[in-house]
Amino acid sequence: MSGARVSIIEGASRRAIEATLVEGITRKHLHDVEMKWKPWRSQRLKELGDAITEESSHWDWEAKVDVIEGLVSYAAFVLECGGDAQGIMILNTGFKFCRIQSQDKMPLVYVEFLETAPWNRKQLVTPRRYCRVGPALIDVAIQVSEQVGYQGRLGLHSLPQSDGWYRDICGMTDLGIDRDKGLRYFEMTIEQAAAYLKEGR
Amino acid sequence: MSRKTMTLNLTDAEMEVLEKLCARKGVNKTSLLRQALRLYQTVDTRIQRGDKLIFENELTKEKAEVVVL
Repeated sequence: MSGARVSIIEGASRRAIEATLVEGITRKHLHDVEMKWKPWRSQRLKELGDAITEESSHWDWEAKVDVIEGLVSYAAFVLECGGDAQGIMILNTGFKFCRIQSQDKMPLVYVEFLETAPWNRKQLVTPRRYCRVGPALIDVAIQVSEQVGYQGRLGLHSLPQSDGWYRDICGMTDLGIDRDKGLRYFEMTIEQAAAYLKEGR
Repeated sequence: MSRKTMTLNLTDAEMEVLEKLCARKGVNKTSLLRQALRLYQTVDTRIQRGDKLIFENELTKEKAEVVVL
Protein backbone atom coordinates (compact mmCIF):
# COMPACT_ATOMS: atom_id res chain seq x y z
CA MET A 1 0.00 0.00 0.00
CA SER A 2 2.92 2.34 0.72
CA GLY A 3 3.77 4.47 -2.29
CA ALA A 4 0.24 4.23 -3.68
CA ARG A 5 -1.07 7.25 -5.55
CA VAL A 6 -4.22 8.69 -4.00
CA SER A 7 -6.52 11.21 -5.64
CA ILE A 8 -7.32 14.37 -3.65
CA ILE A 9 -8.61 17.79 -4.70
CA GLU A 10 -6.60 21.00 -4.88
CA GLY A 11 -8.76 23.48 -3.01
CA ALA A 12 -8.22 26.62 -5.11
CA SER A 13 -8.53 25.08 -8.57
CA ARG A 14 -10.84 22.20 -7.62
CA ARG A 15 -8.66 19.98 -9.80
CA ALA A 16 -8.00 16.35 -8.88
CA ILE A 17 -4.34 15.78 -8.11
CA GLU A 18 -2.34 12.81 -6.88
CA ALA A 19 -0.98 12.50 -3.37
CA THR A 20 1.33 9.75 -2.18
CA LEU A 21 0.44 7.38 0.62
CA VAL A 22 3.38 6.51 2.88
CA GLU A 23 3.28 3.71 5.44
CA GLY A 24 5.03 4.75 8.64
CA ILE A 25 5.59 8.16 10.21
CA THR A 26 9.11 9.45 9.59
CA ARG A 27 11.18 12.19 11.24
CA LYS A 28 10.39 14.37 8.23
CA HIS A 29 6.66 13.96 8.87
CA LEU A 30 7.06 14.83 12.54
CA HIS A 31 9.11 17.86 11.50
CA ASP A 32 6.29 18.93 9.18
CA VAL A 33 3.81 18.71 12.06
CA GLU A 34 6.00 20.64 14.50
CA MET A 35 7.51 23.24 12.19
CA LYS A 36 4.76 23.72 9.62
CA TRP A 37 1.38 22.53 10.94
CA LYS A 38 1.65 24.01 14.43
CA PRO A 39 2.95 27.50 13.51
CA TRP A 40 0.41 27.75 10.67
CA ARG A 41 -2.42 26.77 13.02
CA SER A 42 -1.29 29.14 15.79
CA GLN A 43 -1.12 32.04 13.37
CA ARG A 44 -4.51 31.22 11.86
CA LEU A 45 -6.19 30.85 15.24
CA LYS A 46 -4.81 34.24 16.25
CA GLU A 47 -6.29 35.75 13.10
CA LEU A 48 -9.65 34.16 13.83
CA GLY A 49 -9.68 35.39 17.42
CA ASP A 50 -11.60 33.39 20.00
CA ALA A 51 -14.17 32.19 17.51
CA ILE A 52 -12.54 28.82 16.87
CA THR A 53 -10.58 26.23 18.80
CA GLU A 54 -8.85 23.14 17.49
CA GLU A 55 -9.47 20.10 19.64
CA SER A 56 -6.56 18.11 18.22
CA SER A 57 -4.02 20.91 18.64
CA HIS A 58 -2.56 19.31 21.80
CA TRP A 59 -1.80 16.00 20.09
CA ASP A 60 1.85 15.06 20.40
CA TRP A 61 2.57 12.93 17.34
CA GLU A 62 6.18 12.28 18.32
CA ALA A 63 5.05 10.73 21.62
CA LYS A 64 2.44 8.65 19.80
CA VAL A 65 5.05 7.34 17.37
CA ASP A 66 7.34 6.41 20.28
CA VAL A 67 4.55 4.37 21.90
CA ILE A 68 3.79 2.30 18.80
CA GLU A 69 7.40 1.84 17.69
CA GLY A 70 8.02 -1.80 16.76
CA LEU A 71 4.50 -2.99 17.61
CA VAL A 72 2.87 -4.93 14.77
CA SER A 73 -0.58 -4.14 16.17
CA TYR A 74 -0.28 -0.62 14.90
CA ALA A 75 -0.04 0.75 11.39
CA ALA A 76 0.64 4.39 10.61
CA PHE A 77 0.04 6.22 7.35
CA VAL A 78 0.83 9.66 6.01
CA LEU A 79 -0.61 11.29 2.93
CA GLU A 80 2.02 13.47 1.26
CA CYS A 81 1.46 16.15 -1.35
CA GLY A 82 3.41 19.22 -2.41
CA GLY A 83 6.38 18.02 -0.38
CA ASP A 84 4.52 18.11 2.94
CA ALA A 85 2.53 15.77 5.15
CA GLN A 86 -1.15 16.56 4.51
CA GLY A 87 -2.71 14.03 6.86
CA ILE A 88 -1.57 11.46 9.42
CA MET A 89 -3.30 8.41 10.85
CA ILE A 90 -2.53 5.61 13.32
CA LEU A 91 -4.54 2.39 13.18
CA ASN A 92 -4.82 -0.41 15.73
CA THR A 93 -5.36 -3.79 14.09
CA GLY A 94 -4.75 -5.98 17.10
CA PHE A 95 -7.29 -5.96 19.85
CA LYS A 96 -10.39 -3.88 19.36
CA PHE A 97 -13.81 -5.43 18.89
CA CYS A 98 -17.16 -4.34 17.48
CA ARG A 99 -20.03 -3.02 19.58
CA ILE A 100 -22.86 -2.88 17.02
CA GLN A 101 -25.13 -5.83 17.73
CA SER A 102 -25.00 -7.25 14.20
CA GLN A 103 -21.22 -7.61 14.44
CA ASP A 104 -20.81 -7.72 18.20
CA LYS A 105 -17.32 -8.74 19.36
CA MET A 106 -16.02 -9.22 15.82
CA PRO A 107 -12.53 -7.74 15.36
CA LEU A 108 -12.22 -4.33 13.75
CA VAL A 109 -9.57 -1.83 12.81
CA TYR A 110 -9.63 0.98 15.34
CA VAL A 111 -8.64 4.45 14.17
CA GLU A 112 -6.51 5.63 17.10
CA PHE A 113 -5.70 9.06 15.66
CA LEU A 114 -6.43 10.85 12.41
CA GLU A 115 -5.48 14.45 11.77
CA THR A 116 -5.24 16.55 8.65
CA ALA A 117 -2.92 19.51 8.18
CA PRO A 118 -4.57 22.71 9.45
CA TRP A 119 -4.58 24.31 5.99
CA ASN A 120 -6.78 21.44 4.84
CA ARG A 121 -9.43 22.08 7.48
CA LYS A 122 -12.65 23.70 6.38
CA GLN A 123 -13.21 25.44 9.69
CA LEU A 124 -9.85 27.21 9.49
CA VAL A 125 -9.53 28.35 5.90
CA THR A 126 -11.36 28.76 2.59
CA PRO A 127 -10.36 27.56 0.13
CA ARG A 128 -8.44 24.73 1.73
CA ARG A 129 -5.06 23.84 0.24
CA TYR A 130 -6.26 20.29 -0.36
CA CYS A 131 -9.67 18.67 0.08
CA ARG A 132 -10.54 14.98 0.62
CA VAL A 133 -7.43 14.23 2.71
CA GLY A 134 -9.47 12.89 5.65
CA PRO A 135 -11.78 10.82 3.43
CA ALA A 136 -8.75 9.38 1.64
CA LEU A 137 -7.30 8.25 4.97
CA ILE A 138 -10.61 6.63 5.98
CA ASP A 139 -10.49 4.87 2.64
CA VAL A 140 -7.03 3.54 3.59
CA ALA A 141 -8.32 2.40 7.00
CA ILE A 142 -11.07 0.40 5.29
CA GLN A 143 -8.55 -1.17 2.95
CA VAL A 144 -6.35 -2.15 5.89
CA SER A 145 -9.38 -3.68 7.60
CA GLU A 146 -10.01 -5.74 4.47
CA GLN A 147 -6.37 -6.78 4.24
CA VAL A 148 -6.25 -8.10 7.81
CA GLY A 149 -9.50 -10.00 7.30
CA TYR A 150 -11.93 -7.69 9.10
CA GLN A 151 -13.92 -6.95 5.93
CA GLY A 152 -13.87 -3.18 6.30
CA ARG A 153 -15.11 -2.96 9.88
CA LEU A 154 -13.82 0.19 11.62
CA GLY A 155 -14.28 1.82 14.99
CA LEU A 156 -13.15 5.09 16.52
CA HIS A 157 -13.79 7.70 19.18
CA SER A 158 -14.38 11.14 17.72
CA LEU A 159 -13.45 14.55 19.01
CA PRO A 160 -16.69 16.59 19.22
CA GLN A 161 -15.69 18.81 16.27
CA SER A 162 -15.55 15.74 14.05
CA ASP A 163 -18.73 13.98 15.20
CA GLY A 164 -20.78 15.22 12.27
CA TRP A 165 -18.07 14.35 9.79
CA TYR A 166 -17.85 10.70 10.86
CA ARG A 167 -21.63 10.38 11.04
CA ASP A 168 -22.71 12.27 7.92
CA ILE A 169 -19.75 12.12 5.56
CA CYS A 170 -18.27 8.74 6.49
CA GLY A 171 -21.68 7.17 7.13
CA MET A 172 -20.58 5.52 10.38
CA THR A 173 -23.04 4.48 13.07
CA ASP A 174 -23.08 6.75 16.12
CA LEU A 175 -23.23 4.64 19.27
CA GLY A 176 -23.33 7.65 21.59
CA ILE A 177 -20.99 8.84 24.30
CA ASP A 178 -18.60 6.21 25.62
CA ARG A 179 -18.45 7.03 29.31
CA ASP A 180 -14.95 5.55 29.64
CA LYS A 181 -13.54 8.09 27.19
CA GLY A 182 -16.07 10.92 27.34
CA LEU A 183 -16.23 10.89 23.53
CA ARG A 184 -18.75 9.59 21.00
CA TYR A 185 -17.97 6.15 19.63
CA PHE A 186 -18.56 5.47 15.93
CA GLU A 187 -18.47 2.18 14.10
CA MET A 188 -18.52 1.21 10.42
CA THR A 189 -20.12 -2.05 9.38
CA ILE A 190 -19.08 -4.19 6.42
CA GLU A 191 -22.00 -2.77 4.45
CA GLN A 192 -21.18 0.83 5.36
CA ALA A 193 -17.54 0.26 4.38
CA ALA A 194 -18.57 -1.15 1.01
CA ALA A 195 -20.89 1.82 0.43
CA TYR A 196 -18.14 4.26 1.42
CA LEU A 197 -15.68 2.77 -1.04
CA LYS A 198 -18.28 2.55 -3.78
CA GLU A 199 -19.40 6.14 -3.42
CA GLY A 200 -15.78 7.33 -3.30
CA ARG A 201 -16.38 10.02 -0.72
CA MET B 1 4.87 -5.13 2.36
CA SER B 2 6.33 -8.56 1.52
CA ARG B 3 4.92 -11.67 3.14
CA LYS B 4 6.37 -15.01 4.09
CA THR B 5 4.62 -18.37 4.26
CA MET B 6 5.05 -20.93 7.03
CA THR B 7 3.65 -24.33 7.90
CA LEU B 8 2.00 -24.60 11.29
CA ASN B 9 1.50 -27.89 13.12
CA LEU B 10 -1.42 -27.94 15.56
CA THR B 11 -2.95 -30.66 17.72
CA ASP B 12 -6.56 -31.63 17.09
CA ALA B 13 -7.61 -29.69 20.16
CA GLU B 14 -5.72 -26.58 19.07
CA MET B 15 -7.18 -26.81 15.58
CA GLU B 16 -10.66 -27.12 17.05
CA VAL B 17 -10.11 -23.99 19.13
CA LEU B 18 -8.78 -22.17 16.08
CA GLU B 19 -11.75 -23.17 13.94
CA LYS B 20 -14.27 -22.19 16.61
CA LEU B 21 -12.63 -18.81 17.12
CA CYS B 22 -12.54 -18.21 13.37
CA ALA B 23 -16.25 -18.97 13.13
CA ARG B 24 -17.10 -16.72 16.07
CA LYS B 25 -14.94 -13.82 14.90
CA GLY B 26 -15.80 -14.12 11.22
CA VAL B 27 -12.18 -14.30 10.04
CA ASN B 28 -10.03 -16.96 8.42
CA LYS B 29 -7.24 -18.88 10.18
CA THR B 30 -4.43 -16.72 8.83
CA SER B 31 -6.20 -13.55 9.88
CA LEU B 32 -6.93 -14.88 13.36
CA LEU B 33 -3.39 -16.09 13.98
CA ARG B 34 -1.94 -12.80 12.77
CA GLN B 35 -4.28 -10.99 15.14
CA ALA B 36 -3.19 -13.29 17.97
CA LEU B 37 0.45 -12.47 17.27
CA ARG B 38 -0.23 -8.74 17.28
CA LEU B 39 -2.08 -9.05 20.56
CA TYR B 40 0.63 -11.23 22.14
CA GLN B 41 3.37 -8.79 21.17
CA THR B 42 1.45 -5.84 22.59
CA VAL B 43 0.73 -7.65 25.87
CA ASP B 44 4.33 -8.83 26.17
CA THR B 45 5.70 -5.34 25.48
CA ARG B 46 3.43 -3.77 28.09
CA ILE B 47 4.33 -6.39 30.68
CA GLN B 48 8.05 -5.96 29.99
CA ARG B 49 7.43 -2.27 30.68
CA GLY B 50 5.94 -3.10 34.08
CA ASP B 51 2.24 -2.87 33.20
CA LYS B 52 -0.40 -5.40 34.28
CA LEU B 53 -3.01 -7.11 32.12
CA ILE B 54 -6.42 -6.81 33.78
CA PHE B 55 -9.84 -8.04 32.68
CA GLU B 56 -12.90 -6.11 33.86
CA ASN B 57 -16.41 -7.50 33.81
CA GLU B 58 -18.58 -4.99 31.93
CA LEU B 59 -21.56 -5.50 34.20
CA THR B 60 -20.12 -6.09 37.65
CA LYS B 61 -16.95 -4.00 37.09
CA GLU B 62 -15.11 -6.82 38.89
CA LYS B 63 -11.44 -6.82 37.90
CA ALA B 64 -9.06 -9.77 37.64
CA GLU B 65 -5.39 -9.64 36.83
CA VAL B 66 -4.24 -12.01 34.11
CA VAL B 67 -0.90 -13.61 34.85
CA VAL B 68 1.08 -13.89 31.64
CA LEU B 69 4.08 -16.19 31.66
